[in-house]
Amino acid sequence: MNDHFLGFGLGLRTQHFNDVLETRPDVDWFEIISENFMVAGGKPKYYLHAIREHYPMVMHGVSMSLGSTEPLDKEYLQRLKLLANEVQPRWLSDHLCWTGLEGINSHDLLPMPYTEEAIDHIAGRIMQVQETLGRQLLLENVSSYISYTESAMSEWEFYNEVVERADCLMLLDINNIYVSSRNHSFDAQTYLNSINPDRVRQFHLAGHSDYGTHVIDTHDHDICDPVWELYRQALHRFGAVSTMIERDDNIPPLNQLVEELQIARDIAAGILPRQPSGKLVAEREVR
Amino acid sequence: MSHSTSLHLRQQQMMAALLTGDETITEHIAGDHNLNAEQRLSIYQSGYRLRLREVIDNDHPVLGSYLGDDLFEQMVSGYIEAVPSRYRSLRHYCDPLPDYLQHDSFFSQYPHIAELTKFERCLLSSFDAPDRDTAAVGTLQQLPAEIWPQLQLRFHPSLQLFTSHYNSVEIWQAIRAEQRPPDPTPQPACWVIWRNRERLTEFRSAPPLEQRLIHSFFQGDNFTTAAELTATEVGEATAAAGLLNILLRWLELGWISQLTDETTPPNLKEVE
Ligand SMILES: [Fe+2]
Repeated sequence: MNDHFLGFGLGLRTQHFNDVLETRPDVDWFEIISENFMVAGGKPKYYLHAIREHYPMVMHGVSMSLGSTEPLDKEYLQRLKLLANEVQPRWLSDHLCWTGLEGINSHDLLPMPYTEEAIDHIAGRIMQVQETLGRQLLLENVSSYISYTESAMSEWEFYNEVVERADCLMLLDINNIYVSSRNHSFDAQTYLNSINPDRVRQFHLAGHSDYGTHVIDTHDHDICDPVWELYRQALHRFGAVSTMIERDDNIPPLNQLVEELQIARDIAAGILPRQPSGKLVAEREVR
Repeated sequence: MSHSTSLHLRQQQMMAALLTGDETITEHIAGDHNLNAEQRLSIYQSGYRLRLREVIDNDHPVLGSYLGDDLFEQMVSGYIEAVPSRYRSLRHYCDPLPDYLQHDSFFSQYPHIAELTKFERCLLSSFDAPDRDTAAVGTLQQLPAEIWPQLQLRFHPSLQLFTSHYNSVEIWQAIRAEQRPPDPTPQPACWVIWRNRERLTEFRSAPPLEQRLIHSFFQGDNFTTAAELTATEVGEATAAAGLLNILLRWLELGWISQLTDETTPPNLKEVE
């Protein structure tokens, strides 16, 4: 039994708080941005707790800065732990990146050079974080626009190796693979086929902005066809993996996102086998 | 160079590129036929500024309209340059903005602008202040009359006293109502900002007696002291009734979380 499969979720956004509570949309679970709820009280906290009563949640962070060479922010980790105690998320994720240095936060997901040194460094920090939080972390691949000349391996080799050494799990962002494949001219299918299926717990889907020469991960558009295609391939390889849509800008009404999520459900229904109960099961697990 | 420093060095170079425009790092970025190293780096450099600009814009819509496009851009680029984020959450990025405006060589000529910005930030901090139950209107009457003289107040954690020296709150209100703002003028005033029971931020002006009472309760004074204070303003004869009216109104507005005869000091935030 795949008890990690939560079904099809959405990112919980302020604009939809009220609609979620009032209409209880057909969404299996919600992902929250942890930092948005690291406040003492008020409206966001009220809705968080009210919505949590009705939906499973996972927590997704953007500022753990796992790859940074400055010390881990212990205070941030403690606040994150407190929030996790409140929310009781199914799991907690952050990114394969760094976000700042010497106390200054860029608020961006900055890529790592793919070197042995970087693997050692970030894997060690992930282990420290997992120790502090008392749980396994999901690590997400980011979109990137630069690659460093000193990189000695591919992004997927780096990602796999970090995850193995840190003994953490993977949040595979399908759109980020697509975006980076365009920006760095690699084959997205090769990336997918190289990822260790045993580690993958969640997928992100999102839209981006295509500038021809490059693609920027903006989360302000619908999901495009090549990303849906890559999602199909990911389902073939990884089976039933909890899937959600990230939308952070140009946010449409909730029902429009629920419709977009239906596309993901339909694609998965055509690919994944079902249990007698009708529930989707992971292909790998049937074998 | 030792192995353990090359990652650190690269990160220092990247931060320098974002914060100061120093492009040393391009020597370590691979370019290709689509984009060269400088173009790739510039995606991060402009992304950094855009992201912070958006935060200022979202947090300070009234300030933005008041300044107009050109001055707003001048403020944004100056602020981003001068004040990098030291926060994990963008929610706090503009916390030092009033201070920046107060000391910037251009904006300090117009001190009401810093004040208006401070007011807008106080509204935000009341919005996500800690939760606490508010005392019901009937609470006071339910307490035995013999403990009234010793009673103290615990204000709701969202309650703040905002003291202004200019008509900056009137300017804020006019902009918010899409009306022509009044000309800036010195005009001392005091405002109470709080989050109401619907979790929306409200504010209203606090007359002198209310200000003095809030200060007094904030210091941990009890009803006896409050009644004496009220008497000096309205006279002995109507002091008790006057105080009762004020307290009932505060209860109604949700300003009070607790009435107690214990002596732990209440918490009130004061912003000047
Ligand atoms: Fe993502």
